Amino acid sequence: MTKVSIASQKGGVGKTTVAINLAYSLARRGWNVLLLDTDPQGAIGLSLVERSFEHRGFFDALCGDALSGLIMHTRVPGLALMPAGNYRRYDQAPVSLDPAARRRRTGAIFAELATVDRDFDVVLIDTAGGTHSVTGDVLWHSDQVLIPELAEPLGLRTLPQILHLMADLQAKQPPTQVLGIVPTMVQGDQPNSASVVRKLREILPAELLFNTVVPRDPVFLRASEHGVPLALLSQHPLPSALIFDQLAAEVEQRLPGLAPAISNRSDGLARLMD
Amino acid sequence: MASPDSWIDLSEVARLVRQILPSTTPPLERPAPGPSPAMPLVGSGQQFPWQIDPNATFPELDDLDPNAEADLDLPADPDLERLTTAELRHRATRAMRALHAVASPRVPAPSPPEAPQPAEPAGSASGFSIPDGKLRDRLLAYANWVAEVTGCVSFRIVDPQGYSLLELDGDNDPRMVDCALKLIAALEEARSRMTADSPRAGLYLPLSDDEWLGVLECESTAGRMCISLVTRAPLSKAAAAELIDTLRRTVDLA
Repeated sequence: MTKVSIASQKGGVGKTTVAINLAYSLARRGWNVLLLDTDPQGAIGLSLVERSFEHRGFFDALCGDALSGLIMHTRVPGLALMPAGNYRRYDQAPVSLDPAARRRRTGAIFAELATVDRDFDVVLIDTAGGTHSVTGDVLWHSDQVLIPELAEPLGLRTLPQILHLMADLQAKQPPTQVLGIVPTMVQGDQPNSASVVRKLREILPAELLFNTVVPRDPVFLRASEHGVPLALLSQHPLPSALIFDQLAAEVEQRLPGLAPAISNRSDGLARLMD
Repeated sequence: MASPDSWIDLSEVARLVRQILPSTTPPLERPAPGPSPAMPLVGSGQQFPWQIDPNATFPELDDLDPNAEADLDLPADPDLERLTTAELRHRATRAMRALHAVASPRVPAPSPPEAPQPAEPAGSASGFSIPDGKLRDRLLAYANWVAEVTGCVSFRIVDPQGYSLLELDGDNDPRMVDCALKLIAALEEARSRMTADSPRAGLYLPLSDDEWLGVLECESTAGRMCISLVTRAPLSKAAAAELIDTLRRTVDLA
């Protein structure tokens, strides 16, 4: 099981959008995926689950609840989710006042996820903006971190801070590896946005920057309105939905144990026609 | 306009990348590729070799592969005569080296666009001899001459519909230049009809503090055409008249 946090020091860069749609695409590609919401705002639940505030979730687990009753199954085979749960309850619990205890409890939750029946291949973790408090603990216990980067001049200016975060995460033991940076809210028809993507490709090595870029597209609002991943918005997936299939394939290539091997057998391939 | 990365410390970015990926050389620290005939005429702000070293040497035409742009050769089209040639690019590169050498950051900013100094060609029409041969060859020679005497960073000859007969692009957004060109060509046509007998210097549109898009109209026996060019300042009336007259003689072989 690989724990991948989606994190950024800046809010509003599309973390939840990437988390929901990437989780869906990975599940459709055959992996057992848990989408875990650790953002007190509960955006995953608010995006996908009606009356999500009635469901317990991650913050209830921080308070000591067992995980078995917190994981929700979806109609998509291979995709489960754990909503944020009751943040107010956590905020009044002793664990919220003890950072060391909270970090230990976060580690225990992640360790327990590896023992649940579903045998998850990937736990995709949506986080709150910033790197403090609960998000800091989640990053500390994650195996990998994927960083959405806003394709606007302000996003580029935060790049050194993001790299500092990456360096710090890799320096700790055990290290949290950097899965990569994915440019988000890209507006190809806006010179300022396109130039930021070009500049990112100029100054960052390919190992740190995904080929895939996530566009700014009104269909994301429609998908959020209807509470579905983008791919479920219409019978025939929209172009923006296919972008997350590409991102999922790139993530597979970068995650140890998930990279599909290309068969070198000439006799075992299923041909389109005999 | 400020470069998108002018707000961040690129050396710090490179250091952090090295720290995160010790085995990887950040793209910024990789050696620059060698000169290529396919390199753009004008790169992004930090890429100008002359900004790094004003005395940097540039590839000469003879040093380059003459067949490198073979794929760009278009079938002969007597109506349009579209040209994109290695000779044109290399001559322009030399002219732009001179232009950007004086426009380097160590030189004080040029005068504001409100009071530009008219630019005079460094040479004169007497320095241009119209070659014999096809219209294509004559226009090519003319373009090279204009690039040398004006130091323009972008140059086009278009027909009244805005179709390009010959083009030499700098780093200006072609869409923006095209739109401005069509607008200014229409204005030039209207103005020339009202003041047919007055000396013409063309119409100019400021693109930035030190770049002006100018359009000169030329009537030839082949029909009306316009020259558009981007220079550091509007041309003087004498210089504009010289360019127009030379183009007319080049086209008409008069």
